[in-house]
Amino acid sequence: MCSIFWLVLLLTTSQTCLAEILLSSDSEVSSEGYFVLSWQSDTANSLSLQQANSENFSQIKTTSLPANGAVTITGLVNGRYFFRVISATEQSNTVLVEVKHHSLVKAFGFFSLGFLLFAVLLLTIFIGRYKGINQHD
Amino acid sequence: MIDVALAPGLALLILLFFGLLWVLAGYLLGRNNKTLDDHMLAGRNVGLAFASATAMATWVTSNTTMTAPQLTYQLGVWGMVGYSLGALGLLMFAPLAARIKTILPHGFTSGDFIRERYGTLAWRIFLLISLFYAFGWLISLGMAGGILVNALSGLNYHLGMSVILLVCVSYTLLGGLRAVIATDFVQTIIILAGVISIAFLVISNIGFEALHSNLQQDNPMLLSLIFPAAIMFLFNNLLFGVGEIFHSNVWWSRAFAFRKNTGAKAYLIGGLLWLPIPIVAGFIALAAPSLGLLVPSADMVGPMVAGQILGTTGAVIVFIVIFSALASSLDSLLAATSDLITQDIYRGHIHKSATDERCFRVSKYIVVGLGLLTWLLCLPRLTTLASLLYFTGAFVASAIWPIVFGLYFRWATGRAAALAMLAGTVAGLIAYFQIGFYVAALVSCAVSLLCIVSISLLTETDFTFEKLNQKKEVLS
Repeated sequence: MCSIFWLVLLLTTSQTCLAEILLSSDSEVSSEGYFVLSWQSDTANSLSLQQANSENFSQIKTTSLPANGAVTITGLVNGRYFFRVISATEQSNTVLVEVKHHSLVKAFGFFSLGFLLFAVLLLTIFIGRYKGINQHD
Repeated sequence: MIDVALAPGLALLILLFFGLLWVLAGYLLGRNNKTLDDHMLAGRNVGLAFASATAMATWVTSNTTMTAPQLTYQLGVWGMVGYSLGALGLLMFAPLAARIKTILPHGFTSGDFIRERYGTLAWRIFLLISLFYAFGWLISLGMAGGILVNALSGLNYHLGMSVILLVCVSYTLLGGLRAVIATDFVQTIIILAGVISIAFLVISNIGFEALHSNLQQDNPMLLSLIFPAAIMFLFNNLLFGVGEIFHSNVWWSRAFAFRKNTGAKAYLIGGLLWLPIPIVAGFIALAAPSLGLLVPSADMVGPMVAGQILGTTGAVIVFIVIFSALASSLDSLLAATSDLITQDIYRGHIHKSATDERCFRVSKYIVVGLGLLTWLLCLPRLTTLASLLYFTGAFVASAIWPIVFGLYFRWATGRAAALAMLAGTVAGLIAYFQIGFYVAALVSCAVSLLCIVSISLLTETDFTFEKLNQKKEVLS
């Protein structure tokens, strides 16, 4: 019983240490390849944002960060992206964002609809103007 | 904390200098406004140079100078190209402006036309849509002022927003549409000169190859021509622009104010002058990843990149250009919305026998009230500029067909127009929340077209354009 108590205490304390830097995202799944990451920290050390394609952060892209703030990540292709913020002594929680763009079938469906509406609008104005000139409405 | 390119004191100085300049212009130009026609429609005698300048300057707004970079940063090269398609709204309004002046020579507002053409139900729905859009645009402009000042100088968002609103309310109040159009002329010259300078500075400071290779490596979708959300956005933006211009009293009041045979030419010239501006404004956003800029909110990317690349000189130019662009739109919108409320709400619903003199006085109170309400709604910075702006797309695109069919064809009925606006708006809102901001106007426009055509086929109308002319003659 006593060992369980110490184990729980140890785990709670470790979580508290790790939670000194908090990282969050405005969306878990992005259909457009952009999203906003926000972080909060009370550390005096300099911070870096790490971005990776795998949970173990084997290959990372690093960006320097100020103590608190937000950054808009943009232009990403389909995939799972893992983010964390680190300092010399601390590390934030890991945030996973999945980028899953709309299908091209859906995209070209809307594109075609837009083109059709535009063409009908142009034609309507052209016919209306021609009719108006001839009839002197 | 973000790096800033302008000292806060310098930013305040520029704000105060241009602010006082616009207010002084408003005072001087407004001294001769004696009648409601003078105040609301600049005496209905605006010539081609001023008409073209006000069309272009009003359409260069926070949309162009701050949302175009935002959309380029989010949707890549298609976002930039798609944004410039907004010029088609002005170009396509050219024939409509001529038609409006012909069939409604004594009209005051777009609401006048809808009421006379379609009856009370469609008029009330149209007013709701139009006022909702006007507030959305006013808030986006107020927010853009605050964001601009904050991004370039680090000054508090609320301070920048408050100063810009105060300046625009003051000179619109003092000078009416005459001041709005005259300041637009000066602001157009500033905007064009500024944008050309920025383009020159950007091209001489950034290497295209480095920019391209960085984007290809870290942000490949921004260069992709098969970016799904951006492909959906292209015609959505075009139709949104068309909806904004076709329905809004900002553009109708100008059609009434321009001299006969001037409107069509002015809107054509204004549209052609506007076309390249979003491309230049949007392009600079593509430099943000190469510069390693941390962009907290996508709508700050334009001023941040300009400040970073171009240094203090560039930041000053950007600041003046965007301030001019904001002021030229904010004043127009305040004046046109005040006209709409005075004519369609006050005179149309509250005090039907109000004289022109009384309406003249009331319109001034309404400008102050609008400014105050906008300021209150801008205080909490609830969303990004693009999200706010495109939310209104669901509303305005539903009015495209009722306007176009109503201006040219007698078969469109009032019931069909009312239901088309309602159904289009609801469908656009559903699309906004279910898919994204980049399809709201598109869906709204499609549903509105189906409704107005199908319901008009099932209902009958005895409307003729001769009746419209007769009613206006009696009113005038």
